[in-house]
Amino acid sequence: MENTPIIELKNLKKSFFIGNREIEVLKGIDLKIYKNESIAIIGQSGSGKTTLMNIIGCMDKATSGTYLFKGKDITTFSDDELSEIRNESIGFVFQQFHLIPYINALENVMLPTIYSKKPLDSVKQKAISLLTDLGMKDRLYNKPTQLSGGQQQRVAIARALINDPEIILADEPTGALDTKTSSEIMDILVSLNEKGKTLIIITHEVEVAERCKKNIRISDGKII
Amino acid sequence: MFRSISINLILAIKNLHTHKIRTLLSILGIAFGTLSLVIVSNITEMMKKKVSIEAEKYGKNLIIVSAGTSLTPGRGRTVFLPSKTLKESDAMEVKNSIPYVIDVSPSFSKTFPMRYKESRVSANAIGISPNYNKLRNINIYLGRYFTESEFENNEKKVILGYKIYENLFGKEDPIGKYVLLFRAPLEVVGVLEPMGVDLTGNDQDNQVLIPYSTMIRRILNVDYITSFYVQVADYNNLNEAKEEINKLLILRHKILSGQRSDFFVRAITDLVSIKDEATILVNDLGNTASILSYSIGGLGILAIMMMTVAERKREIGIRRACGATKKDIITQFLLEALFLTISGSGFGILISVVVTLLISHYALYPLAFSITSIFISIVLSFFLGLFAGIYPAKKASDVDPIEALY
Repeated sequence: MENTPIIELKNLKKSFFIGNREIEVLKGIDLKIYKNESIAIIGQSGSGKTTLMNIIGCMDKATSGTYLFKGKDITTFSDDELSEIRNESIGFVFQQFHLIPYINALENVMLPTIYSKKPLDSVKQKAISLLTDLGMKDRLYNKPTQLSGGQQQRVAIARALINDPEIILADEPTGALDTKTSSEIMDILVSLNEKGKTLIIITHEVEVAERCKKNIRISDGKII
Repeated sequence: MFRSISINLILAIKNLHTHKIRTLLSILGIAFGTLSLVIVSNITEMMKKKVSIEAEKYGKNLIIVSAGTSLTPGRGRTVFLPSKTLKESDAMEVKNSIPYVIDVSPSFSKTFPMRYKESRVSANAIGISPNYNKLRNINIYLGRYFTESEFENNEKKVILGYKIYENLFGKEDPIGKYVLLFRAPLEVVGVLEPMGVDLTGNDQDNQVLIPYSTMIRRILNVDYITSFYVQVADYNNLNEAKEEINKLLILRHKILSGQRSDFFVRAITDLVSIKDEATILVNDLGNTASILSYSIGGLGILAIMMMTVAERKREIGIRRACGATKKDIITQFLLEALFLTISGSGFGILISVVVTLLISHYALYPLAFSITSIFISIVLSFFLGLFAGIYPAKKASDVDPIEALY
């Protein structure tokens, strides 16, 4: 079973309606991502890479085509089933960090466990050790506004890891950070890949793409 | 499930904590609604308790049959025309033929001037039958109650009400002394404890008790009585017994239909319910106020929830990305709305308890709480929370996570 891709997209299309006009954003994407790969999906803004990420991340559904997740066709999965996949198998890292402002770092990290169906114990201990590993030991009880961008992104990465997902899906993870912090965050993401996580990064930055083993370019809704 | 609810609740509290004033204002409506509901019910409860204490003081499960016609010529005035048609035999027949009745006590009351040495008072003299002290609650302050033989031999003995005793004797020991009731000399055998005004409006401290037979045979020489007390075994039969007595006396007095009767029958509960009219009014006002407050409070919560959903779209997106289903989001916002309404209600209950304690303390009412109203207010606020929360929660679950995150 080593050859089964963790994610397989077949002739995936996605279109939106703006008024009466149908705009095709993804025009037939074929893509296989295997376990423990690290892939950068590169494209200009408007190329459809964010839409592709939303579909890969089970946040959005394709208009046509097939999406196989770990060999299972999830194209027609319900909202609840997709939520379960997001919760168990995918860890998101966003450009804008997207932490909840009124709770502290530790609580933000524990957030996905609220929705987990798996029996969990010592969630708090695990969250603390994740944050500690990311160098956030002294910031456990700080609110997001009391943290720098790099620190916030570390919290977001810890949150992405709390439910032990196979895939880390990062959308422009360094887009809001300075060069030095960017490379620190990339170091973290690359090291996660080395520890066995499948890493998918959406980016338009060459420096980021270079850190991944495989690069995929997308332009005007197609892989080139 | 439980874990998710408790964590969501903690998160909700943290969020509300960041908007303290807004949260406080939003729960005020519910708090006031609860306040007026619970306070009014507590006051009603306290009044009931006070009245029942008074009724208990008056005597247990009593019906009072009085001679005379009571007319209400209008504007709530009552005119009372005395009659001489109520007989001792009426009382005996009531005792013998009505099953609920365990005892009757005929009595005759009339106001007389009363004198001891140079002191004069006007006293309400009541001729009482031997069992009077078993039907009405009386406590002897000095001396004793009449003996069997004093009743049987029509002896000229008297028990004084407390004010009469004070006015006639001051600090002098009255026992064994003779007072003049109109022209009849009576020996004082006892003095009653101060009891105040009873439920029928009689000042019990301004009355004197005389053996019934002494009163109607030796002092007045009449063959009628002014009233008799009827004691019923079970409180729940009070009204049936009252009806039966009414029927029996209409028959005995040959009252034709359409004619006014020459007697009237009151149960102790009637005396209590006269006072209740005011209570009912207060109650209705309170309930109206609380319904208004609850409605406004509910709308307030609805508005706050709509606002919070609009403000927290990004949070909803984050939660969805972290694996929250639509149902999870609905649960979260419903919980928040419920938390608001129930804490509002809790706040209201707390204040109402304090206010009730103050009222009881300063208005000298016996302390009583209406557990029912507290329960109702909690249940009501729960449903109000559901009502105010369901629409915003549905809105929240419909938030498109992609739109919310970019």
